[in-house]
Amino acid sequence: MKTFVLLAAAGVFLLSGCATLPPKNYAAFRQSNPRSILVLPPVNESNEVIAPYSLLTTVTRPLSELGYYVIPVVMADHLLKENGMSLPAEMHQAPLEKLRSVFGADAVLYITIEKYGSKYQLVASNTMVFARAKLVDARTGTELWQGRADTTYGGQSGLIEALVEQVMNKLVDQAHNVAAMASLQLLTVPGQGLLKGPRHPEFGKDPR
Amino acid sequence: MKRLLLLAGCLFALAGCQTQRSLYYWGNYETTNYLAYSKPEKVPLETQREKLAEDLEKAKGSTLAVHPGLHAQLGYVCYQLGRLDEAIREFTAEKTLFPESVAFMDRMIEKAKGVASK
Repeated sequence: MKTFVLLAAAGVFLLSGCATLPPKNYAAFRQSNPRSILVLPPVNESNEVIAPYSLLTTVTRPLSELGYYVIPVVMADHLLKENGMSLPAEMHQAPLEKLRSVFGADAVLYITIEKYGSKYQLVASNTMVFARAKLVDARTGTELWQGRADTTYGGQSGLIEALVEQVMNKLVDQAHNVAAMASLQLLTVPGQGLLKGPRHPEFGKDPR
Repeated sequence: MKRLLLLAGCLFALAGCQTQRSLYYWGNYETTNYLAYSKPEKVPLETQREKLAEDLEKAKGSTLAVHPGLHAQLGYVCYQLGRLDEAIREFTAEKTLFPESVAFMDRMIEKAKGVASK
């Protein structure tokens, strides 16, 4: 049952460029060797107000599984708000030394959401989460990595979609599930996403 | 969330990328945090506390490790509930498990002590 669902799910997801793009240059990343990452609430270029918090709450897992310590995202957001920065755009302007002294992270992940949500068309609906991001060394200000994800979930009629929906987390809306996919696509694709971090059993073994 | 991981695993396997075992136990954390922003009426603080405490129990009963932020977020929910001793215990647990969090957890512990002394 699960295999069928997985294959069906893969069929309906449109992935851009896993294993077809040339690998990135990770020299600065290796040099910096960050152990911990502060993810700021994403800047929102979409029409959905919830988009930043939807995406923000999906990044802890992929980053942790890559082997990084992730500064607790809700706590960081609340603390920044308490310090007078109510919008992600303001948080993205915060000086790096300030972020480093408060949170102690080695690197900061800045995400911008370009598209978020569903478009209802004649026969089917598409849910899209498009985002770009950069990782900056909090100690030096050096940009270590940049990437993007253009994740689309296109519904197909009938059996396949019904099976895929069984797999989705039913406690949350579909766009949030697609946001979780977008985080994986943004961060974890070998050669495109982040290098494995210090807590990963294969740290240091990413292909050069 | 397990299902989401399986889905992801399949996507990457199909694209010729590698899959591997999880380092950590993942339970209610992501959903609870998302609902706290999107549908706060569904997750009052006490519910959040229960969900995160449940994750801790299940993680400890599994072969997987407690993930970054679980103790901390539980501590923060306790802090918001006025359960300051518990908050301090959880912030301390986070920094013990994850020394990378020391700066932030020490800051939170000081905040909790500050509130407790009022």
